[in-house]
Amino acid sequence: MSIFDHRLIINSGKGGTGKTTISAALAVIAAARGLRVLLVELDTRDRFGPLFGVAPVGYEVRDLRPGIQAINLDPHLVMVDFFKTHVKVKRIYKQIVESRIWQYFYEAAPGLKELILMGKIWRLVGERSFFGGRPTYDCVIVDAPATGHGFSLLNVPQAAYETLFGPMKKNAEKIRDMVRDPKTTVLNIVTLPEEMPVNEAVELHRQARDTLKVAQGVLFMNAIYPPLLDPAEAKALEGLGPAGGPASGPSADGNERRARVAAAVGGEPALEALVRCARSREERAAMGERYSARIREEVPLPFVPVPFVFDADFDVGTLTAVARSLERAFGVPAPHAKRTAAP
Amino acid sequence: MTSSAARAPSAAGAETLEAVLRTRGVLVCAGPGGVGKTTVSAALALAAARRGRRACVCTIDPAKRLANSLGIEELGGVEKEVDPGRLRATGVGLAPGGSLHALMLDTKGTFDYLVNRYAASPDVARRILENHFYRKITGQVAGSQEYAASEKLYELHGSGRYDLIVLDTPPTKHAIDFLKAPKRLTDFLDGSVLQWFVMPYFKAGGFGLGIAQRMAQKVLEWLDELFGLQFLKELNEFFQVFQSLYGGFKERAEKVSELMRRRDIVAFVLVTSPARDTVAETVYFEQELRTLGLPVGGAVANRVHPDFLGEGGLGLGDGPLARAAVSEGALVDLQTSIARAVPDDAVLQSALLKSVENFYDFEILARADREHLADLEARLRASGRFFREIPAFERDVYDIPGLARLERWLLEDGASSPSTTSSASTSASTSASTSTSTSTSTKGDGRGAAGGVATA
Repeated sequence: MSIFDHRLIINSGKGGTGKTTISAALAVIAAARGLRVLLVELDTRDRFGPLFGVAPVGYEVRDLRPGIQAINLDPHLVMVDFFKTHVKVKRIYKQIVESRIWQYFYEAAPGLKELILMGKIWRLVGERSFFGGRPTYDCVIVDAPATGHGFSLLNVPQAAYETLFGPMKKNAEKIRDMVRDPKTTVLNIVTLPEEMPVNEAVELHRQARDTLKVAQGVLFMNAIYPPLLDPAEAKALEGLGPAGGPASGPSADGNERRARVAAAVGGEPALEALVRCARSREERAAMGERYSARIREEVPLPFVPVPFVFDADFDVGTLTAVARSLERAFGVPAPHAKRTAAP
Repeated sequence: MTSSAARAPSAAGAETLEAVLRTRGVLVCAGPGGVGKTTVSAALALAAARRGRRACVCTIDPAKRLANSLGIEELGGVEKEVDPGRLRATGVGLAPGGSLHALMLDTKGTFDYLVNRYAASPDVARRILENHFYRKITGQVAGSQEYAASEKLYELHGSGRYDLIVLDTPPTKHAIDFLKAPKRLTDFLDGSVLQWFVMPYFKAGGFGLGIAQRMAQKVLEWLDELFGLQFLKELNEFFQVFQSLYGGFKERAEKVSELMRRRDIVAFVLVTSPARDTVAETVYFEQELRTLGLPVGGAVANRVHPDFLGEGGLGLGDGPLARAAVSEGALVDLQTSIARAVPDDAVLQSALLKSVENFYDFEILARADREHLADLEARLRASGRFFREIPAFERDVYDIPGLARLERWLLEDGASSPSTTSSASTSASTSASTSTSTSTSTKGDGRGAAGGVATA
């Protein structure tokens, strides 16, 4: 089962690992498979707009490009929405939302904000077109908050189910069932080849398995530096030797060679900077390999490496590059995906 | 404020991080999540200990290996001294009188302590500590972790056991949340609001109630309907018992807030990454701190991509490498001269050409970082505060020697001098595996030499 067969795709991992970019790139390749995608971001300043090179996304579903729409779930606005659904009299919900007492309740009740957000996601996933009852979105991709908060978000329906009574308990149960339905929901983990992100990825994987009981899709190892030189090239570069060796004697030939290369690139400092920079790249690549090996051992999910993109700004160019490398990992898109083909 | 405000460092003479580290009693490392606050905090505390101060770093959630290095694997909220023998064994010696201590913050423990301290009687304390809702709410209400952090800071500072406390702030999405949080918490516990919750809201009819009270009643009835009576009952009980603590909490929060404004004691160290969004956030945070009258010492930009070309000091500003970066023709020339230099060695040629390409890749990153950081740096320098850069290393920093090596970037003159003349003489550049990223001058003329390189 491909991750695109799930109607709800959730991406989580430590802050700064590139969840937003991965989410957007997944949307690009899902759309290329003919799926109608909704990208969801939560409680944040919009980042999908800049990434797709369009105006900022707010709390209203917006087209980013053909087949891809996005919404930015501001908890406060979701809450107003929530009241509209649950309180019939319009005048009253406004008064409630604006009352101090509600605001304090909202701050105090642990997980209430998350529960309301999950409720909104549940409704988006279940949304159907007016005629024919076809789901509005084939794929809802959620750029979930960083590990700890991401966990609370996914765990809140179960917690609420255990604590609450009345209609909210029923709601919580429905949302929990959606999260735990392996046909509907899949969780992907995004990480980087660094200590903390890898630790958190391992922890999230275990929590998802043991506590959340949510199906897990793939593990994205983001921003891996591809190796620069093959072993022979690396050896040749190191073979240039250190700067300022003796001008005569057994190694004089080598020194002369180094001097020629240095002259070609603009002098000894330039050559040294070149070599240092290459070495730095190789060390980063080695680190990528070390952490990849470690996480593959500890997290038995399909492993998708995503090469580092040398880009000054995170914009459409970055997105395209990442989408391309994901496309390679996921294989050629099917000409028409099954869910869109069905009436 | 008090007379201490007058002792603020003047804008005329820039105050270095070195000076701040030697003179203040509290450093608050603040910034958005994921920028390396914990590492910077630990490095600063270690540096202070190496200068003969009794330093304590108060951290939230350190990487396991860093926690291991500091010897604070387990929670408990009690500070521990990092064994000086252990430090010496790793080649990191402290100056006489100096010591390094570390503490992992324990939010729940801090709250329990406060409850015990401010509860009217041991019985009230027990009722609170046993309340189901309290046990859940501690550490979950927005701001409780931040409140606990500033509370611990206040306690440690007041104890007189340390010359310097370095506080690693909790990982909030936005740096400013750290400051707003304690107030949010005390607002939340505000007695005038609590009374709504303890009001008997199932009064028949609601005669004799004001509009606000009637509204509150309506909301409570509605909440009850949605969430269930049991839930509200628990909440209600929690508020009833917690109300007695409000006065104590508030007074304490005010004292903490007073301490935070003492320019002679406290300095905020803004920690940022060079990413555009993060720097924008930091600039905003800096303005916000100033508006609130809180003392900003300066900023540390962490994981800045090394600028291997360096400044004019390396003489690469207009060499073949720089020229080839901006012109196709010059690139072909460079390739030709490399091929001519080692005509018999195709492997070396290919290694060199790949290295040149790699060099440009890194230059793009370095230039982008510089561009993003320029405004922040200019702002800080203009008001006489410090700005330091730590390069992105090839590997994570998690051991004591690694922390000690950061000193060079945080404190030494050569590494991050604002003066343009001295930066030319950075002979240090040859020793490090990463760039000297030397000058942090914003002039732009140094870097501008090859400024035509496309950064997009």
